Amino acid sequence: MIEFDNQNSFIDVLIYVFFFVTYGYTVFVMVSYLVLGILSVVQARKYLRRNSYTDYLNILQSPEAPTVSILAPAYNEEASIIENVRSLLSIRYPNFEVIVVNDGSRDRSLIKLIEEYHLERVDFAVNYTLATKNVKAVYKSKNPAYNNLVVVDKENGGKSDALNAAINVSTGEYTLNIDVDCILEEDCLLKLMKPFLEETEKNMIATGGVVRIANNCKIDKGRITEINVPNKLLSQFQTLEYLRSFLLGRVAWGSLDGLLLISGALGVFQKELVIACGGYDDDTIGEDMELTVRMRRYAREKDIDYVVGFVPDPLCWTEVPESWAVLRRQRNRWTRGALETLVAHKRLFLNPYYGKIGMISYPYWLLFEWLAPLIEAFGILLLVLFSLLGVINISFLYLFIALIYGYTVSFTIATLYIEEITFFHYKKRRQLLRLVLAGLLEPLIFHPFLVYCSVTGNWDYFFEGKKAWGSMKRVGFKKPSNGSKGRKITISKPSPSSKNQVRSSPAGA
Amino acid sequence: MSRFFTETYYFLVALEPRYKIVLFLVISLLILAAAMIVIVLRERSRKNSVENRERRISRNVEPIIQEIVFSEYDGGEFKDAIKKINRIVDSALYRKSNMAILNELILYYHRNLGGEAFNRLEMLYREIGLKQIALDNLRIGEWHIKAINDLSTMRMGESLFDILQYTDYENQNVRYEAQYAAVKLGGKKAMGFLDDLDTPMSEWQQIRLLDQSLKFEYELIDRMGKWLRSDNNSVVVFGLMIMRNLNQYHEKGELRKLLYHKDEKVQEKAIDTARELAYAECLENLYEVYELTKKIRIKKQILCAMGDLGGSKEVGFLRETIAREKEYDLVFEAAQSLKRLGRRDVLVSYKEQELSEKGESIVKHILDDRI
Repeated sequence: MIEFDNQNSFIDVLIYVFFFVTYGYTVFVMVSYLVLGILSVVQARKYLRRNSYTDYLNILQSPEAPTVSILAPAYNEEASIIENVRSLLSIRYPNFEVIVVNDGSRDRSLIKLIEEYHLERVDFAVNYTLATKNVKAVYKSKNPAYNNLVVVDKENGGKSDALNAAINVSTGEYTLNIDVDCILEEDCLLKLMKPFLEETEKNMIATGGVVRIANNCKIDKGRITEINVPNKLLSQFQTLEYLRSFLLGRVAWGSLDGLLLISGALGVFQKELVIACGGYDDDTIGEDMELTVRMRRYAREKDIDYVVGFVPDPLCWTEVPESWAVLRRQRNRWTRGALETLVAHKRLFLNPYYGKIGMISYPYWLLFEWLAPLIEAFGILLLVLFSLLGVINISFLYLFIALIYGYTVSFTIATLYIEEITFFHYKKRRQLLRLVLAGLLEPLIFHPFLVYCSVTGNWDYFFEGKKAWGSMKRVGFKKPSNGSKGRKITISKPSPSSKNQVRSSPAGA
Repeated sequence: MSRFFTETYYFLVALEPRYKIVLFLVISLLILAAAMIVIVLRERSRKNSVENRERRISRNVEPIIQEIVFSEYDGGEFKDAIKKINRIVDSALYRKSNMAILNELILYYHRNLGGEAFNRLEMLYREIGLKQIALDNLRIGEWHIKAINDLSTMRMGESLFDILQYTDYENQNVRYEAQYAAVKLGGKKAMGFLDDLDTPMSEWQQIRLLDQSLKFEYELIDRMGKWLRSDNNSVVVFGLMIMRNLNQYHEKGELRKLLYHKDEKVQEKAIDTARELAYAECLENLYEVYELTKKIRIKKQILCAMGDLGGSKEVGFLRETIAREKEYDLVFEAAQSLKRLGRRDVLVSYKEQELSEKGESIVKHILDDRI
């Protein structure tokens, strides 16, 4: 690969080390993905086999089911809030309340809620266990049918602040933290609560579930009625990315009890522990990951024998950006969010006291989630430089790139195969082939874009000190065209970025 | 053409080993990817053919099952119907999977029907040999859970003894399924396995067993004392759940002891059970526990119980708690209990007095009936 001079110069050695590290790193990443993939398949099959006889009716009828508070922060969601709250209220679970927090919206979100659900202001004593911005009012419905709905109106403080306010108002033992624009499966809560109720040896502190992409799916009365592959190539890329991330990544990490992230779009937490460790951190934009890591750290430091679960079932559907500009802002934010958490909890790195998260999860995240795009970008720059200088063997390099491409495509197709033998959501042959095609293009178009977003995210974090959220304005779920049932999700063009946008990463993939 | 292959061959042979390795990997991956696409598509075809077969069998068998279920068949007609079904599912290649399809069909009908139809389906299940298949699967040990689940769903009471062997089985899933099936098939008599159960029962399992137990007709469960004295905390908690949901008052003495249990979950459940059973005699013990414990959850539970069990003495205690306690949850619970005791007047008088801002907002909250 490298043409050495007769006398090995220092630069030659450096180049040699560079190639050794780059190739070694790439192979290591590939092997780790393979191991995680295998683990995921085993785990998903085990889960499906074990749950094929589960009768959720037992718990649905049980007076002993623990109480759960569904926390839904909302900021300028007037387009879809009514529909989304209705979907939340119709979740199948015996004992739950829905707490919607209007985080100082500048649109008609609150007025719409008041009108639709016949809300009136009540004398609610808010317990500020977690410090938040001022709660202006708490509303309950006059209609007994919405008895389990609580709407909190507060000053704008960001998503973390809104979630903390919701925790203060909640009465449940557990909280289901979601994005208000997500569409949940009817039995989502039953499935997410099951790991808490099944655990006998350890203290289950949180569970997450699989988030899938709802673009182009048909939606009726707040429920997904037909699952489709998105029409736009960009959304198809993200479909593949989510499949890989959740079906192969998170499921495996869940089985190893090494999850560092329970997505802000869907996660159940033990409320007592969330409060004990201080709730959501206002100063981070990656609040979902930060809380998960902090809870784990807290549990370990307090000698609580804990576990974090993960349900491989797709339980939540979310829309993803359909424009490159919005996606860029979203990924930039995810990078900064992850980075903030990694920096805030650097003490975990290779610290045997923290067990698996210190010795495996944190280093893995640091090396392969945060550093990977940077190493890749750096590597590409150097390769261009080296090839211009003529110090590398181009044909071997091409071959190596072909190997990476082949591996990525094989991995994507393996993911589709696993989806096929497990949850089998994309039933039409044409849809499957579209995903295969997207899988062939993804390493050439989408992946370099993600690397670019990640690099700019790092730049913004280290040199610009950016903390703002990107924005993704919604127009709500469109009425179906004549002759078709349900609705299809469409996303409007992005609005200019605004501060304190209450919108989490759809998946935090 | 042959020249092309020859040249390619010599080109490959002449390559350096590292090139060969990488090239081999690239080609292997591409072949693997192509193979996986083919497998995915074949998997779809296989699924389709299975679904088609399922539909065909269902289409042919369903009318026969419906006739068995809904008409007055005599012995001869019943046998003829079974022969007909056997002819449909009989196949050299697919007998096993056809029987599985038939099994699911009968289970489906069984879940959705009742009365005489229910009994006829059970008879059909036995006669057609599905019960035997389930028992064989159970004994072979390959399909424990499925077999146990099928036998209990079809209410094959005669297989209870086969199933009881698995109620303390090493595999948790098999054990849970066997425990559930035992309660379903044998009622409270089969709950004897709880007497000396060493393994913990998850909350999920407790809820499942409770769900079955709620179908019992009211009768004294004399084993209750053993469960409440068990070293297995999950059995104790389950015992308490049964106690309050099936109104088993006769073990109140044990319940009183459990108020002092060292396990927080058991203690909490015991207080809750005392409250639900209106066991006012234990109020003195609750005062004692309140003083002894440092756990807010337990204190809250006790204050809540006082709201249901208490009298004038408790009103005084609750008033004092509101005035004295700094913990929000305890003040809130005490105020709520006062309201449940019908003493809004006390709360109103508090409202009029100069309370702390926090205390005042709690009292306002409690007095607001819309919440």
